[in-house]
Amino acid sequence: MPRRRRGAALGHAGSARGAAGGGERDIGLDEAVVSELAALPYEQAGPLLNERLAGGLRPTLFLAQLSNLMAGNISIVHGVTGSSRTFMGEEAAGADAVRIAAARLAEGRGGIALVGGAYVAGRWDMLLIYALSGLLRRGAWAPLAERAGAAQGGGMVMGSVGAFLVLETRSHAQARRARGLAELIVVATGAARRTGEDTARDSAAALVGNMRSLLRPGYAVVSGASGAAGPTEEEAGFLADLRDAGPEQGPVLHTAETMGHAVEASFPASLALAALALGRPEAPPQALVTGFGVWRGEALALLEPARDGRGAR
Amino acid sequence: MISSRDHLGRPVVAVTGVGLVTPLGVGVAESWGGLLGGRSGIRRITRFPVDHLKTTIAGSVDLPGDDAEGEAVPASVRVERFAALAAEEALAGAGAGILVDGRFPGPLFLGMPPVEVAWSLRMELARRAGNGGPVRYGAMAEAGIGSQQAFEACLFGGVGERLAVRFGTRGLPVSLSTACATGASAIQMGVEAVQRGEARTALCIGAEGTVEAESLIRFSLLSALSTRNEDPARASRPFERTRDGFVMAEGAAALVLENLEDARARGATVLGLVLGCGERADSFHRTRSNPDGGAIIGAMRSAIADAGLEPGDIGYVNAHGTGTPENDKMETLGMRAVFGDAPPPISSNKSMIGHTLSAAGAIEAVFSLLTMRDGRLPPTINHETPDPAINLDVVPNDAREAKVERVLSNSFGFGGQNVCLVLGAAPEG
Repeated sequence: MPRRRRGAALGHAGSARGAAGGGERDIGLDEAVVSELAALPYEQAGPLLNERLAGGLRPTLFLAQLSNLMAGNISIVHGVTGSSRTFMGEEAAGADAVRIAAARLAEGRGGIALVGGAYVAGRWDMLLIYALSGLLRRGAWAPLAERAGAAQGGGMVMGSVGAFLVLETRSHAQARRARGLAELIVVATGAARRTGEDTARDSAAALVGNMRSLLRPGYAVVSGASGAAGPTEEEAGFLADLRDAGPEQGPVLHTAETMGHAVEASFPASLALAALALGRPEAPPQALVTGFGVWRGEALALLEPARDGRGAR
Repeated sequence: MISSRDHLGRPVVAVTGVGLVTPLGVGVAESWGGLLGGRSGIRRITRFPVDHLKTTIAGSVDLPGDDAEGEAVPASVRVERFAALAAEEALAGAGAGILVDGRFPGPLFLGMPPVEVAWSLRMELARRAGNGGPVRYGAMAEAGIGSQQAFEACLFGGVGERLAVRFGTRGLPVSLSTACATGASAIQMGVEAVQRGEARTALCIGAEGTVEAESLIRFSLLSALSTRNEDPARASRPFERTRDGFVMAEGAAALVLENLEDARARGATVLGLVLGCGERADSFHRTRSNPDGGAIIGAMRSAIADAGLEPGDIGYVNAHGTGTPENDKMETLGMRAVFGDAPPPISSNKSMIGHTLSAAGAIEAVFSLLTMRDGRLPPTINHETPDPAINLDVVPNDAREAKVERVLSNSFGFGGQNVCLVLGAAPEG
């Protein structure tokens, strides 16, 4: 599997399925090309660009650039040979990968799925995109709460993360005597346009509508807030509304605080950490996992400790 | 009147609107007419310089303004344009009755290529960062801070979001890539959403717009492309002995899927049905099929089984048929394994429109529906020297009249992701 790429992948029952973003570029080649050609008029630069790329690109790198080949490589390495789907679209891709995998298990299309994502932060071709947004934190690392808002250049620190989950129906897990880490009660995604009154805060509130009656006092929040000023404030507002409406809210953990923001991998990683936390003796009764995309996409999941120490529904 | 539930008790999925953009033209009528006429949409590339390229031909879709101001329009912009054109036609075909308050009342599933930072943007950032000397990425990033429009153009979710706004689809748009099976995967996602009752209708799009120098070079490095540059119309030769690779192409297809019961209730014209979907991942190699054909055979069989049918029920196969030596050999192996000694006719749309990559599965699903509607099998053109290893009826060179009730449409992707669809004729009554 290529060491550097971003994306989210999801696997399914005796079959593979996945979701992803773009892969690595040849940074040195890109820099050499723009250094030589940027100042030339298009008529001159076009043919020279072809010449430099034809001489400089390598076939192996192309394969690392195709989003779906993360899932393809997982199929090869882990022998996942059923279906394989690769979703694209930043944070939402990771969240919808989980939602759709869970929906397929719930309707009986297979008993087990592999779902997750990976993102590599420490590359200029990746950072360039988020630099454009103006939302990256400048200067030294600081706790999320202390990061400057958009006025000071944004508060997002990216993080390299790979996170995959095995989702399994209870009967499938029981048949192979597997212990469940946690039970996935609900997962839902939303799409606020984030203009006017169509806010991310309201979108998340609509998602929580169906699960509000399921919330129990002391539920923990595993927040995927990115640190990007706007959506992070929206998420804080949503959590405050939720706290005010009750029941009593337990501890709130921001995964980007320790891992950085991992885009496609963010939601799967938060889910994985929540599942692990719920397996501990002093665990809260539930974990509400949130995901607020930097640009678009809201996601929520509710997890509970595995009943009878066994698998998901 | 057929039941509104299938053999597994799931809602039957109808297609009530289709739209096409292909190298043969913009719109269903022009594309389908060209295909039945055996016309090739492959031509010399004129949209950008082709100096130093091994392959200088493609099934390029050139819309007005594509080469505005001499600078190449970024691929993701073209993907979005083609997708929007196809979706508009599909929604018009489905009728205004499908909209609720002017909005499409279901999700969007968009199959498309990965979005890449355009060279024009990299050059622009380098100029802004310019100091006369070598430009590094860090300086380009610094120079680009706060370019919101450029940021949104680089996001993978951007195309889907803008289409979702435009057509008013519900929920998060789902964008996906399974390489050359992408378009079929987008349809499969929509079918599943309707089958499990999550949606009553879905807008499924496969779109491609990456005919550009860097993509051509990448595929050339894999020795995947035909180099018959001197005779573009004859370059794409699926199942033919002298085939030497595929021809890159672009375009889009959109399908409005709808619960059959709802479609009937609102009096919609049903163009056909999606009866079954099958998929198998190959764990053998990143670009090559396992020589045993297991994943291809498994995908075909599982689609037929998902439709509740037997191989003998399939009247025609819309081939993946890329024209690479490897694909066509493997597809033949799969056909013989699934259908035995009497396989149904199979033809490759790619002989005329080239390989539309992320759009192919969706475009070919639309052509499969039209095949049944009109009772005419599109040909495989450029069939001059038969390949003795391809023992199939490939509908050579000329369209053929044939009443077909069920079509299998194959899509096999790099990365080993194979998806097959079984499409059915519109039910009578």
